[in-house]
Amino acid sequence: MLNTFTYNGIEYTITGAIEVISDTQLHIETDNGIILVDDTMDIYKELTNG
Amino acid sequence: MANNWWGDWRPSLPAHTGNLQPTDLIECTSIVGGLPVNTAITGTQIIAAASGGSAVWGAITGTLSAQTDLQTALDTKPTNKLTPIGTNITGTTALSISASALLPANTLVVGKPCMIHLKARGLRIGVSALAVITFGMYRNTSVSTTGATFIGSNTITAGVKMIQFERHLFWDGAGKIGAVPGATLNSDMANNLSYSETIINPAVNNYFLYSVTCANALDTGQIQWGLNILYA
Repeated sequence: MLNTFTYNGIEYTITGAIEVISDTQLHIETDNGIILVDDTMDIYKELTNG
Repeated sequence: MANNWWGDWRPSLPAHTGNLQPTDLIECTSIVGGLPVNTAITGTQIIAAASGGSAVWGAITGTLSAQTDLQTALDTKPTNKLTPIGTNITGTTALSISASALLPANTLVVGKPCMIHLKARGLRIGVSALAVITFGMYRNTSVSTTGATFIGSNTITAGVKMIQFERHLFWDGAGKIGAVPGATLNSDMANNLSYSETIINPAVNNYFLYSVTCANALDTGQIQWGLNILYA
């Protein structure tokens, strides 16, 4: 599973929990804070196998 | 050109020293018909007659938009002129933006640390007393939750109509925002909470996003916000 992703020019490394916020949104704990990831981001598809 | 006389040479009168004061008396002597004629004028008269006249408090002459330095300074201020009342979020269980506050580019100044105080209250709209609604704070470089950095949240549960919460962010004057990591808390004003830093680009517009997540799509939530930036 991927443990890094880049968004808006910032590379994030997943460091902790992944929390489901809704059917299309996740909270991902990274080295640069908790990031809201949704189904428009590649990392969402990677994590959910969507 | 006629000669004008200024001052007084009589030793019985105190001599003027220092800058001109409104209470100063200045003696002018003219020769009229071969005789000296003295006239005393006051510092107040001279000040009032000086170029530009006296200042008028509360009124700046000219066009405000032409005051470029002032306008530039005003443009960097947060948009507290916007209504702090967010839109109602209903009909979805997805986390949605109810309100946003612009932090204009370059408001955070390199070399000038400051504290940013975010405060908000979330409201349950409507009659469903069983509503469970989570209100959140995020920041992003656009008014979008996609890729947004979570700041904090709070949740109202059954029977609750309103909840308030606040967060304090510290701009280090270099490139990072320090804060208590995103969590469900009323306030980060507590002892011994953990602390972390996240990257922010102060040279672009940043937005503080105030979100609503309804556990039931039939419920309705609204958030109202406040933003204050405290410079050291």
